[in-house]
Amino acid sequence: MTPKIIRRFLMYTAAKITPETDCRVSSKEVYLKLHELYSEHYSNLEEITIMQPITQYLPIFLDMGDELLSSGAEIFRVEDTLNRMGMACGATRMNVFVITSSIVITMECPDGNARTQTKRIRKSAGNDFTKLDKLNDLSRNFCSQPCEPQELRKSLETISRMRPTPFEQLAGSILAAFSFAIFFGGDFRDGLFAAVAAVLIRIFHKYIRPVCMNEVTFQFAASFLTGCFICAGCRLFPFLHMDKIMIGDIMLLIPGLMTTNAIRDVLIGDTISGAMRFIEAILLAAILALGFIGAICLFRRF
Amino acid sequence: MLIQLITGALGSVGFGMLFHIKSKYLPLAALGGFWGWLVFLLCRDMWGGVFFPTLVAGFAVDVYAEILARLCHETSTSFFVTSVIPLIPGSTLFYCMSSIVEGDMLTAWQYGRDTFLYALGIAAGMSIAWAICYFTRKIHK
Repeated sequence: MTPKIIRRFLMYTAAKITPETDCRVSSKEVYLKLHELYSEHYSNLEEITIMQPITQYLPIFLDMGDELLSSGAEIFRVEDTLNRMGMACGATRMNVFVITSSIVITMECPDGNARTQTKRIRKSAGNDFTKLDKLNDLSRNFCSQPCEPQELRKSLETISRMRPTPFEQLAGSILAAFSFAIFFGGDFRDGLFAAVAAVLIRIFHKYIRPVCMNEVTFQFAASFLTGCFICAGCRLFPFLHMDKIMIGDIMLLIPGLMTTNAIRDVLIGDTISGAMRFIEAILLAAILALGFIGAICLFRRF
Repeated sequence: MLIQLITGALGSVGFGMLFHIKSKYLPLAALGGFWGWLVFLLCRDMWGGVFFPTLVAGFAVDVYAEILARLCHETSTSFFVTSVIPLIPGSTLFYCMSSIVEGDMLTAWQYGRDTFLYALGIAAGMSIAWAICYFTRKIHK
């Protein structure tokens, strides 16, 4: 047997060692025997301990959790996925704790050692469901057939490089603003003007977001400037309905989804994440209103 | 009403594109937005109020998303989030905050309560649907 095949087999056997199964002891024995055999024969080729292959996965799991969170997965889904992946690659027990701003994983290895690693998450969660599906597929494949850490890292990196095209986002924003301006009672012309303002919001996202300190400052800048644009437009074209246009564009900026997700997190039992999200959502909504009202007041003066 | 249904569906497609779901699922997102708002409107006509219509609509949308997720082998989240978009309390949240900024606390309280009830209704509806789905999955095994 070549070293690679034996190592594969070792990993496979380790994957079978779970606390629930009765065969735990026997397969652990097999595992240790095989490992002994392996290191006896190939110790000069490569130095390997039982610990090494499993804990090498830990940083990759953390990145995986980060990617999952930032592509819009729920807290419980991230925890569940990381748990399964850890068990699949041979940990006897996985302790995963995820909140919106941090991930903590403790992996217990078959030889009784444990290792903990944490990752602080700074970027706020977005939504990218193609990426989420790809990550899900990756974890499902990994669970049915664990691969080497390097391979996992490589496929994770190809997935994390995927971005939605700017055109797609632009079209989505335009369509959403247009429809919601009409949805909340505007007419066709209001919809068109809201669509123009949506293009503006997309431009702000592209050029102002990178220079803003955080989400809150960006929210204020974007809502104030968009508000000014809409007010000016309504001055020029008096037949437009200002509040309907504003609501159409507000749907793009408002953390309504965030509020719903926050309450859902609390109901499911992720209370800390829910509370954090809820406060963030309220703050963003207040800032948004402040921006738009600021613009309205400014234009009332003149 | 029909206009609201159609624009709601279009809005779901718009957010679907914004959230980068696979383009072959965009029609399903439109159908989901349509379905969610339809259920909401029917229930609101029947009972009035905010909480129960959103609860039932959230439940209906999550069932729809779960069924699609089983059929297409995808996560239910992507279908749920895009379909629930028309129900999201964006307008009431805005009116609440704008009333606060203008100093009209009574209106702010009303809109704020509505916003919370909308969000709570959706979240509760989907949690119930989840619990039931989990239950059926366990029974099947």
